[in-house]
Amino acid sequence: MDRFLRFCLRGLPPGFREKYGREIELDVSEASRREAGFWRRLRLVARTLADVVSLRWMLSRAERQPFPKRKKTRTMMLEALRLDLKFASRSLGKRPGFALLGVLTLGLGIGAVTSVFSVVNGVLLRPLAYASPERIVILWHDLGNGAQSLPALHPKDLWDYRERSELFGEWTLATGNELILGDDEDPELVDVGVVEANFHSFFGVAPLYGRSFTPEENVFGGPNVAILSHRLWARRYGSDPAMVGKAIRLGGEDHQVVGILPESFRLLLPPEAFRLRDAEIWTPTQIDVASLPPRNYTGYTGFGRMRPGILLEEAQQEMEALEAQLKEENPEHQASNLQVRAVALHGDVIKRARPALRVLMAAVGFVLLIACGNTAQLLLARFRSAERELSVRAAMGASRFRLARLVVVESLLLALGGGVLGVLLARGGIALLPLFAGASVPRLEEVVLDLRVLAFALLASLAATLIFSLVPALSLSRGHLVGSLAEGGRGSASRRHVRLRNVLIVGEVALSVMLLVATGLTLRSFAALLEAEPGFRAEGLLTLRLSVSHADYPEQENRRVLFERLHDRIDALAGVASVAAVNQLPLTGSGSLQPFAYDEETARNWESVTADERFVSPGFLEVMGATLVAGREFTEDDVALGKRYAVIDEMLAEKVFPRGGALGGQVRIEPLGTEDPFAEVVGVVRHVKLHDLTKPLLPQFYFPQNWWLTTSLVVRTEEDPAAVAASVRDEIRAVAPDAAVEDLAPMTALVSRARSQARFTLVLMIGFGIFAVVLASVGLFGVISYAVSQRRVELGIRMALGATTIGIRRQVLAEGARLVAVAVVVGLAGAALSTRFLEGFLYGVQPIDPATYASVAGLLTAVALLACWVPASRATRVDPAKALRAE
Amino acid sequence: MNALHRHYILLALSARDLHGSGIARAVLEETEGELRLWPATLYGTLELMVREGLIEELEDGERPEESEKRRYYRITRLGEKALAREIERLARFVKAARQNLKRRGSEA
Repeated sequence: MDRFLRFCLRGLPPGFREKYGREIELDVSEASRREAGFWRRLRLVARTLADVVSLRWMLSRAERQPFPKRKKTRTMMLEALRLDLKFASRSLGKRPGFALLGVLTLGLGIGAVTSVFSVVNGVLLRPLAYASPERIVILWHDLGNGAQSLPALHPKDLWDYRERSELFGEWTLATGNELILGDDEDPELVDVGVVEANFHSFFGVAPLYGRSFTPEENVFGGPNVAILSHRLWARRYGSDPAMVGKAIRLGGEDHQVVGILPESFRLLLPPEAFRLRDAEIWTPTQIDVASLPPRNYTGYTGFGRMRPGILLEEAQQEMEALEAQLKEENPEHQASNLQVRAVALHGDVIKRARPALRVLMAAVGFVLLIACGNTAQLLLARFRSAERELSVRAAMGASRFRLARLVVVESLLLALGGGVLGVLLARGGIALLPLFAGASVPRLEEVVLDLRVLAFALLASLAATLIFSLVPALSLSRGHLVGSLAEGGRGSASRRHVRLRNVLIVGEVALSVMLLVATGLTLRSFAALLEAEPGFRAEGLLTLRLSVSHADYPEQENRRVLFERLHDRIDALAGVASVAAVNQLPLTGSGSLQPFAYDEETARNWESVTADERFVSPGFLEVMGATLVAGREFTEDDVALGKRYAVIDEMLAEKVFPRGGALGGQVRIEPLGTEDPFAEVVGVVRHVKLHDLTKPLLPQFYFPQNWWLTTSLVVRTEEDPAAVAASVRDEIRAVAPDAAVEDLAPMTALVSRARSQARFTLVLMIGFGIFAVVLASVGLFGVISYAVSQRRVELGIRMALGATTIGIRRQVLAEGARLVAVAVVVGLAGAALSTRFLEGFLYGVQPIDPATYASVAGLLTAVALLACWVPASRATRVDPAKALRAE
Repeated sequence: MNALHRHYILLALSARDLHGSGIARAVLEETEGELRLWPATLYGTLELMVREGLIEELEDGERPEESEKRRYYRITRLGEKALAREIERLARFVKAARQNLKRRGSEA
């Protein structure tokens, strides 16, 4: 081809020439072969020149107006998007390693965040599975100044509310009981829900078979009828629909089954719920109004349903007005300074899980942000290497918007891939949840991947895209790209690049510092919880619950004799050191309360101060391993005297006898005007944690054993408690074949259950912490490697000029250290600022814990420097000759 | 960016997939030598039309074997629609023009 023609083609824009130059040359040379003669050749040259000029004009005009408005139709946009997608998927397909790493990183991040969100959704967000659940409130009666706060009330109070309230449409009342189901054959102790006739319809549940109770069945002296829960029906009666109408033996009496509840019904209650539980059998209340105790005996739980459109605050105001009326009318309410609270049921059920779930959600959000940071790093590196291609497009006239869109579309593909992987991972995560969450999180069985969770995963993917693609997309300014063509890929553009990546990595490391601080604090909390002194020795202690029926053992005396025989036989077993009995074991929920008084004012305001009470057999405190600080335990002689004598805990001793002298002192345990209102203190014991391992809650009374139908036994064993469990059960069966044995397990199991929520949180936090550190280290590794590769020439020159290996390595490490130092400072500051978030979630450790902060800083610095070490030693292997030649 | 050029390119590609000089040749034939597309503007127009989604480049595996590694183009659905709109416009144009001329003829 002609030299002239070639010269003309020089005028093509560089990017355009790179793409089409070869073909244009082919066409032009073909044309020139056909044009013979000087003039015709001259005309060809002129035309080609004009062609090139008009191309430049055309491209510049297209750039000013990339899409003529007239044609910006929807199909046009869709078509363009399809093309973008095609381009992006092709370009991802060309780099499977990059795509895989990106999808994997994002998938893990989105999977973690989706798993935790599915729990948040199932537990916190989804309404309870009842009829209009948002209108259901549970009533709390607070007595004294925090002496007692329980979701418990007296039936008469609820009946008054039912009669007088205008804002509530419906009320229901329930309590609970434990009774023996079956007789000699296969007796078992079951939770019985004792409920008003409207109870199940109140919660919007209709029986699967049969019917609910009728109001006639609910009156005193009504028939013995029962409704079965679905799980009892399936477990014990083989899901036989013919059970409706049959009689079952409950508490030694025949009850006719009138209905069977559907599987979906579960009664969810706050952890403090008093007596009432999600029972296996339901019976009507049949309250004998004439023999009800005074109104300060709160043995029932009351629920109300607000009328539509009523706010909780309005309902609360009405309850306060009713509370004033009740106080006016009933001196016992006046004395105990009753305060009524209407509490939304849902919030009450999940209140203990909420702080932990919030922290977990934040933590997992950080993990996703760090994953986004890493993906942004990947994209930056990827577009850095693809810069020439993009520069061509830019030079061709592609607008900045258009280029940014390419980046975003490619990111979107990555994120959606990550989203799909994340949803799959979340499915697995949800399946694994119950394994380590145990009973610590309410409603866990309601956690599923529903539409909302899927929508959340999609949203998380889109948000992730926005976050991680924005940085690289914005860095693609046209000037920068065109510059990069001219400079051959170095210079100011790459400095800018390095700065961007540095900012990103500092953010990532700072986030992982914050996350690690939270993890560290969780760990310290858990350690403190492990060391928390429960006030007894759980190791080597076997516990069980024993129930007998009223029909078999009608009198206390019968039961005392039974226990004595059991005591002697179990005590004689090999491997058993000692045995004792208590009415209720520690860490098994609220038990009965004993009001007391220590001065005139508390005596006048009866029930303004209350203590836990437990009834124990002689030797119980010793078997438990509780510490007696003064006096003695009960003897056989005390037992007959009932509440005459008491052992009290140090907390109570301090309150009643602040100046000492508790031993032999008298504590008022009956209100003014009662005969013989005092108990004599025979011993003082160190506080035993009955409710919560984290804090002592109420002062304690121990009274001599009172033989109820249900009693718990504690067996101190010489070796592993599990080893003697079977023989203990055999002894009980031999002595009392009709007694039901429940919860035969080591005491350590109860203690471990009390820690299960903390453990659940800890396991997840550690997982997230490790994940975050790994991601951040990988990111740091990438950044430092990149910096080293950019400075190969400089390093080569330095080496050529005699820089030592150590010097080079130190220089690179110092660069990493500088980034890490900034990040650690930022992260620690961020952690310190967000401590408010963690309060209420921690135990035994301050939110700003110097040891945690220091070790996190140390750990992260060490890991980060390790991540810099590899690129640093690679830097020392730069061959100066090669590096310089590459230039 | 000449609208006429674009329409002729779409017309050529509506018959079969072609490379750049194939298109130029087809247009030349179609217009009986009236319209010659010069290479630089031709490829510039093709590039813009790809960006607008009117035509698309064939993938590596889709090109005819004998082609000497040239870029081949294919009309997209959007391109076909654009072409159909142009056909309609032209049809209306021809009809109106004929009517106008006829009326003139009858008046004369």
